Amino acid sequence: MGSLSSSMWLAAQALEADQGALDATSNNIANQNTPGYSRELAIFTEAAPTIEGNITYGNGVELQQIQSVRDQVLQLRIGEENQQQSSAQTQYGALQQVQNLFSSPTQGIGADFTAFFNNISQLSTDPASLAARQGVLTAAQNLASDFHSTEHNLDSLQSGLNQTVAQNVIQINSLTQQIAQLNEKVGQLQRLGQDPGTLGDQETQLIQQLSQLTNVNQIQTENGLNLTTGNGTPLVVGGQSFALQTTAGPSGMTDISAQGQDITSSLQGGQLGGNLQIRDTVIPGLLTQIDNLASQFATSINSAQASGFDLKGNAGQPLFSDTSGPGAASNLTVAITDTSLIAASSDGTPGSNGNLANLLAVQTQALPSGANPLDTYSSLVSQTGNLTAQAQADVTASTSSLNQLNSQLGAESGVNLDEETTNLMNYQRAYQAAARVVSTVDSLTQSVLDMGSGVTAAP
Amino acid sequence: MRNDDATGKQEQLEHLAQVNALGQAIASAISAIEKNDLTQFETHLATQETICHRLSATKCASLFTAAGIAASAETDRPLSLEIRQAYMALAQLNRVYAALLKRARRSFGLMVALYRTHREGYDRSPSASAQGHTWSCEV
Repeated sequence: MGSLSSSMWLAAQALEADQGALDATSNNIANQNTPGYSRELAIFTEAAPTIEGNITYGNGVELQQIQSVRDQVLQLRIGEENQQQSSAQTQYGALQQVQNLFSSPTQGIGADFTAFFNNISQLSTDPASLAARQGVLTAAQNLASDFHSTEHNLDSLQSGLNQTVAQNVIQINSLTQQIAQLNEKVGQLQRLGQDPGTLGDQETQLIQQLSQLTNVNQIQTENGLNLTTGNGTPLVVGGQSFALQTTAGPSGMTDISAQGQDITSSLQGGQLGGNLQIRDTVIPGLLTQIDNLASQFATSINSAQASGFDLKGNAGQPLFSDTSGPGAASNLTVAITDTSLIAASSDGTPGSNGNLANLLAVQTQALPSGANPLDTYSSLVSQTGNLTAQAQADVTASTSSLNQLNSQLGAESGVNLDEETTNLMNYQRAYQAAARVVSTVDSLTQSVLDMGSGVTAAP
Repeated sequence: MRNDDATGKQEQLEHLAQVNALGQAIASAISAIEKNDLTQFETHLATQETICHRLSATKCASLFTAAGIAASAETDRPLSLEIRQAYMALAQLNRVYAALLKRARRSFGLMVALYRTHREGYDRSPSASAQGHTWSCEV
């Protein structure tokens, strides 16, 4: 049955609910510039009524919960985009260094090829000239030297990326540990039917940081959030984190394993994925091509040498050391130091230049790889240029895409000051009205008490 | 002969202007996607379509083959270089545009999946993926 005390109780409940809503609004306003903050909404519900006979009494309002506004789809896309952006940025940074090694077909190895054949061409005008012969040997040495330095620089870049891979794994393990701790608390709150609020925001922020390092799948379960790598290797399950381990692989590169299984090749996205892509795919591919070019070029020149005679009339010896397989470019050396050993002659006479045509033909003949030496090198230059341009385009596209997604998220989950100000005024008025009810009921109660004690209010 | 040269140069200048305009239309379309401005995006898409039709109809098209570029380089090196640079910038913009559209398709795919989850039988038009290309990508 309705009474003054029940009215007082209803007003007190309304005060409490409005106070909670005012707190949420104040928190929103305070966090308007906090990165990753999701605005909070006060969710009111009507309290269950009391039914007495034919009469139903309302029991006022309850503040059911303070709910953070989150869009799971947008969060998922932002996570994915973070991975792609970090991966593209990492690859772009590394590829820019690679591109410096293959900057132009007319520099480095490309220029050395041209200089080498120009010197052979010059030698053909005076095949007995020791100075012209020295020119050919010097050009060959420059070529070998540039093959060495290119391969050495690619190796150094690969080693640098290898160290970064190990650092990435340390960062991932630290983040998954922090996420697991938060995840346990968030799960506890969710099981109690409460909104995780700030803890949820902190967890989301950490997951976004983790996404920048590697591809992360999120699975929401009854016990909280589970995080796995792209291939399903668990990283966080409820309150437990699973650390990734690093071991030195047979090639000297760091392998990554989880629960004893090597998962290196399955890790994609993020800085780690980008580093692995360049370390394990792009650089080895370039090294193989540069090794093949060095090996095939040396074999072709040596073969042309063998078909001629040196200044002393002896059969031509190899100009370059026999080199093949991995490291061929690093092992390429000029095998002769005596200028007279260049096999310019086709008939064994010192004045003959007949075999120089065979040596010059290497410039235009296709190597076993399918193109002549300079075109093969130009293809490498073009390949690195395309890879770099694509990585740069991916960085730009990811940045645009993230701007788009973040602006959408801001519109949904961000704090709108106009809206919050309106809410503030509404809740303030509701609070004032509830306080007025308390004051009125208090005054009525006082009158009732006064009636009981025989005191009447002054007219 | 001089008239032919002048006409040829005029055509090349017009072609260059069209290539630059296409680049601007793509950059604007990228910006519209970033701002979630569908109306602006459609406007820039229509502009791309118009420019691409003009470019494909131009008599200069043959000039931009390898042989054409080599020939024009002999007569007007700076203009030929400028056209080449404009095409390279356009190619890079196209890479960004294609990458951004690919990402937009991913967002769209997630929304489709979400609709499917909530409402069985959501039907995606089979031609939708075929409409994913852009006019500039055709160039």
